[in-house]
Amino acid sequence: MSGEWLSWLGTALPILLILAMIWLVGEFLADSLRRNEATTPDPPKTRKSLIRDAVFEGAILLMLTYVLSGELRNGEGSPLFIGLLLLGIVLQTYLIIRKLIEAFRLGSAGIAPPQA
Amino acid sequence: MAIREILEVPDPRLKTISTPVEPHEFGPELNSLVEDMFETMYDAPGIGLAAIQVGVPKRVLVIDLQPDDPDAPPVECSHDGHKHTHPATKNEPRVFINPVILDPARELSTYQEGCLSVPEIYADVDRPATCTVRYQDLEGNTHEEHLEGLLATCLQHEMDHLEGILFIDHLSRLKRAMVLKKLEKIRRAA
Repeated sequence: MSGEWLSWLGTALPILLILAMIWLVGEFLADSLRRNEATTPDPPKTRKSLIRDAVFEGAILLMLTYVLSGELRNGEGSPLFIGLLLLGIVLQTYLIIRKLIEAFRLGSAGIAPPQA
Repeated sequence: MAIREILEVPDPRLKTISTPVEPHEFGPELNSLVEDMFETMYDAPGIGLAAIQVGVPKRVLVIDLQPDDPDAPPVECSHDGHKHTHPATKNEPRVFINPVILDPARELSTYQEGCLSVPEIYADVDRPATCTVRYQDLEGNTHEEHLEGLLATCLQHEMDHLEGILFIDHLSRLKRAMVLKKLEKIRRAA
């Protein structure tokens, strides 16, 4: 039974990861495009919510790193899959750094932005 | 001078399109309105206020970015439960009557905006980074001025009020719904 489960997981995990990659890349591109319009996609940010987001992105980064290390250890992963994992890791790192910088910026401001 | 009540969402008056100040309306009554607006804005505290935010549907704005004053000593205060100091600020009051934006830049800049009519809610809004504004002063004289940075953003934010537009109207429907829900929650907690 556990063997079947592991086999199922082995099949499903790459598909899920590919979907996650597509979603990440799509979000990244959509975010870049929306910057040119008069709206921004993110909900109102606070220092706390940004750090929480960064932790969440960090968890995804850890998962991707774990899978990538497994693929490299086995030496059986397809170059496409490994490439997608690497792309995911780069994007996650970018997201984490961006959120932490913004959290730091909000934190160092110390006070809420002025109202008008 | 008097502090007036600031209208808050979802007050329908905030959706009113303000009418121009006519030549015969310049005078003591307009001066008194502007004085009240400044006092209300400083009390809130805020950096800009449109007349419609105090229930007067006229095309009148007041702005004071209150920049830091490096020559003055820091101000001690004890809000938020602990004593601390803030840099002193200086007042640079500006009045814009019947303002018109002439040439908004194509380049956009993003500021995290807040509004006295949508209290405690902040969101990033993209607006033209610079613009030229034509406006009248309290004597009715016409001026043209090129604005940039926070002043350009603040003026555009206030001019939106004159058209019945709030900064949350620039957000996506989903985000606006989230913001309004958050505002409701804040009100219930208060």
